[in-house]
Amino acid sequence: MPILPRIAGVFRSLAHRGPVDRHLDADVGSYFDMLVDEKIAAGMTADEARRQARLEMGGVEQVKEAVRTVRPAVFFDTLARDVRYSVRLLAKTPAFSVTAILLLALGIGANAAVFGFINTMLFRPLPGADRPGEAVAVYTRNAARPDAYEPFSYADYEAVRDHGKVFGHVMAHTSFQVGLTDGVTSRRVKAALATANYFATLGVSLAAGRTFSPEEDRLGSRAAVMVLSHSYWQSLGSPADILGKTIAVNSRPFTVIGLAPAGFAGRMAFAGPAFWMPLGAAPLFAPPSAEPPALGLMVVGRLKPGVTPAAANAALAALSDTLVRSPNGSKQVLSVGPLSRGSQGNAPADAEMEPAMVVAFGALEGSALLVLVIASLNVANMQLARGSSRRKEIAMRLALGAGRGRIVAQLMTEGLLLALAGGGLGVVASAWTLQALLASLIPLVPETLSIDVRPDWRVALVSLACCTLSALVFTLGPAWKLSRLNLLPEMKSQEGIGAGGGLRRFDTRSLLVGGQVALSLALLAASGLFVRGAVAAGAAEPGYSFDRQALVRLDATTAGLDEAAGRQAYARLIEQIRSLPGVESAAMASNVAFANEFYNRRVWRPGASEGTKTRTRIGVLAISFDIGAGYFTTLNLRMLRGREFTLAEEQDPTSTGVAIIDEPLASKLFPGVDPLGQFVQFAPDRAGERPPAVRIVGVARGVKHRLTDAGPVPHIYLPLGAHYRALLNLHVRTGNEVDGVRAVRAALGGMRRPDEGKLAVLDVQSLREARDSRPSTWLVGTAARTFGAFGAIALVMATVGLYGVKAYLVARRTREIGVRIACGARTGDVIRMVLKEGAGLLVVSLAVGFVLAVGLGQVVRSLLVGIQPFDPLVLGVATLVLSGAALAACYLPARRAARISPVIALRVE
Amino acid sequence: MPPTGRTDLLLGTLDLLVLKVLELEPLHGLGVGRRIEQVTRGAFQVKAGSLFPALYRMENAGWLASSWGVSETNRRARYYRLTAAGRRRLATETEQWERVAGAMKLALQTNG
Repeated sequence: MPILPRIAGVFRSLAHRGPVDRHLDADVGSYFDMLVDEKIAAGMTADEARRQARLEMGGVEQVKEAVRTVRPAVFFDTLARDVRYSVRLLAKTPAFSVTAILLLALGIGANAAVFGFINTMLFRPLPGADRPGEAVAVYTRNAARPDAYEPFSYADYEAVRDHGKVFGHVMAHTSFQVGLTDGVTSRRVKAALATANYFATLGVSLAAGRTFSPEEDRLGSRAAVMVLSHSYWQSLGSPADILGKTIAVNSRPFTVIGLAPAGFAGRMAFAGPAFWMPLGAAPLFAPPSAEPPALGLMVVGRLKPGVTPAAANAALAALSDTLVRSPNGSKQVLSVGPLSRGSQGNAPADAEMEPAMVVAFGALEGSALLVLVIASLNVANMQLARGSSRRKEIAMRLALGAGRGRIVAQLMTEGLLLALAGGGLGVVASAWTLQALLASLIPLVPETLSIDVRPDWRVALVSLACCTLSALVFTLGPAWKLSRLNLLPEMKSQEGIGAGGGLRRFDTRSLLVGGQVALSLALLAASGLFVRGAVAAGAAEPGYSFDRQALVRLDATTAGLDEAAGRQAYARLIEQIRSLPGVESAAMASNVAFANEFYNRRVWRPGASEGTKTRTRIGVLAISFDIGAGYFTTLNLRMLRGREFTLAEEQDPTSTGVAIIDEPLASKLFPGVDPLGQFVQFAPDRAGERPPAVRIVGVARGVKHRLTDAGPVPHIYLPLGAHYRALLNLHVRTGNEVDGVRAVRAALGGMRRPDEGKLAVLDVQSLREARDSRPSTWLVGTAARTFGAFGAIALVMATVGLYGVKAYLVARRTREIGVRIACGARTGDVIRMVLKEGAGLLVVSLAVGFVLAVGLGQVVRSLLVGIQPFDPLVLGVATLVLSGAALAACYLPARRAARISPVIALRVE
Repeated sequence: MPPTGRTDLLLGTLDLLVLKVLELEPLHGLGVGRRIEQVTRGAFQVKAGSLFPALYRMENAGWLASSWGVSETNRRARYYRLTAAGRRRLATETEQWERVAGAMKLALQTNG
């Protein structure tokens, strides 16, 4: 059967309602006229012919109506009629409509918010990728080793750019941290060096100003100009006259020449540089030795129309043969790949989403859906209650010949209208909530976040799906019930005297309430787990006490210091800090526990590569720290064996060859052997050379590194002397935490006179403050708040729902209760009876909810910090809270019932 | 209700009849009705109330196409004609009908 003409027919009759109707008028009209002609020809008078024709035809309007009901668009006619009817009905019961809309707004809004966030992270198209696949990342790797991806040299970038057969635009960029000085402390932000066609390649036009000129773009131009990201411009207070102003970066003034459009975060989805500077400005930042080949360029190209990635790869293969790396003469292979949403680098990101992120998003979306289901069940209950007063109306319509399908369709329309109104409200509210949440995240993240959470069509689509889902949940059941009425008694009876309606303990309405209670318990328990996790994270310590510990973060490059000057400045600084009154001990370290950054190295026992044991052959992944003297003393970490690094090892560049490992690494690498004096070695570097083995001079106690670590993880510590670090952390143990931080801050302020070695101080905090301002801590706290909010909403909705049903059921039994009281039942008996019935439902619901809660705990277990998914305290408290609220919800109607005067109760009829 | 000698239209037979009479030449609505009366020798009389819905439904299904023309009494009238899909439909419906009719005849004969 031809589908297409049929669809075309629908559109024809929809798009041309007028013409089609006129068409029908004329068609039926001419039929009538011809019929009259026929009759006249048969010898009738004109009047008689008309009369006969009308008789035979059975009425022009009836014929037209008969045609309309078979026309495809008839569906839309009835829909429009149902919508008008539903709007009238809903307007008649404003209390019901407003409550239902608010409930649904909560449920759908929760989903819109969660999905809006996920959408931004995973689905919203990258700038320039509006035509998917056109903007692609270009990679280069060593031909000999398939996984050895490398950064581009400027020459290789030029070769790709000038190739001209594959790409419309090709740009190169790299990013690095720079310092922005603000009083005593500096702030580190991410900056990008980019070629002039950066924006054109990503398909973005600037919001204001211009991009780099050819002169500024020239390598070595030292042009001190910049294009600001929109979010950085906003953080400056959105000054209107920004163009032409200067901003000091690493203590050097840069002129603002352009402003990027809102929401543009470079080549990634949400995190990008604060500003872009021309590649030619590179010498202004790096020491002279770091010429562009060492910049680690990343290349992005925009494919010419019609060029597929496969074709691009083939064309680039030919170009690859001409590219030869100078140092070792190895061949390079060029390839293209899609731009990653969450990372940028020299190698394609194959595992873009970490499993934990999927679990987190899944758990969030799942909880939001639960909230929606609870809200829908609630509205379903309200519908049923309202339905009892609508029975007469519906019975009348059924009696007048409306089909059951028509009744259900009208009720569905009504439900959808409610859901759509709630959904619209929810989407708007959720957009505001998301903005507020993001505003609380942005100050904590070292990157410039350009997260655009404004709802787009995907959010609209998902919200629409939510509306439909919830409308189905809360309409279909009641609609089905209502459309199967037994007409006669319904039309005769008065409202509210269904015989014994409340006697069945588990009728539909109780089931709906039970479902809400069960789901609420699961959500409450999950939120309890996250709150507990947040509390645990807020008190977490890596294995040493945070008491009296201060942390200073420093960066020598942002002050424009090279390695030699940096070493000198740091040596001088730590000496001064150590001599401050109130400072007990101070030490430098490249990394800090609970900071998000870490550097993993694979560590072997020398000669173990021939060994038989797997662990000794593949080595152990250890977190690598470069530390100075007194590090363990400062953190109150006792050495288990051996010694700490000496001052000489802290400062002397030749002090290679020594290392300290911690207990977890020792037990893995040297089971049953004294590690002291043993050697370990590291994985070969990119050139394939194995670094010399290092001798173990000490074994330290194990500590955690990540907030989510269950216990101590392997660490290897190397002396700072052998590995200069421009970005340093300074641990300071003081007599008193608050005073200590203040003293250090004051001392650093005094040291930052321009004539001294200008060290850029990024921040001075207590270790506690540092932990609490970590993005990972924010994440745990936000998860706790989000789930907490969901849990609270669920609790309130379930309680209100329960109250509503109980109140309704008790009201229906007014007469029965009156009889009981008249026969001598006391207040306590009546309350007990009502509570007992409520308790039965409650126990069953709680049992189901308990199982759900344990299951939910298992799902989110990977997101929990420091607690087990089965937490008796959380489950116990959640159950208690819910039972308390539920019993209160039952008690109120019960008390009211018990106070009924039997005379009044029996007079209800 | 039907006068003697006339038969109610069996469900589904109207489509087949309309397709059949339009197989020869395009006709307007009244023409279709009269032709059906004529070929069934008055056994079937199709009223406008059933004819027009059928015509519109079949046009939407793509079996018929229509255009304006001028009738024998010089009236502007809508003429319906078979499409290719309509011809295919006619073939299958005819075949189906013959099968049913044959089976019915057989069944009635064996019993009598």
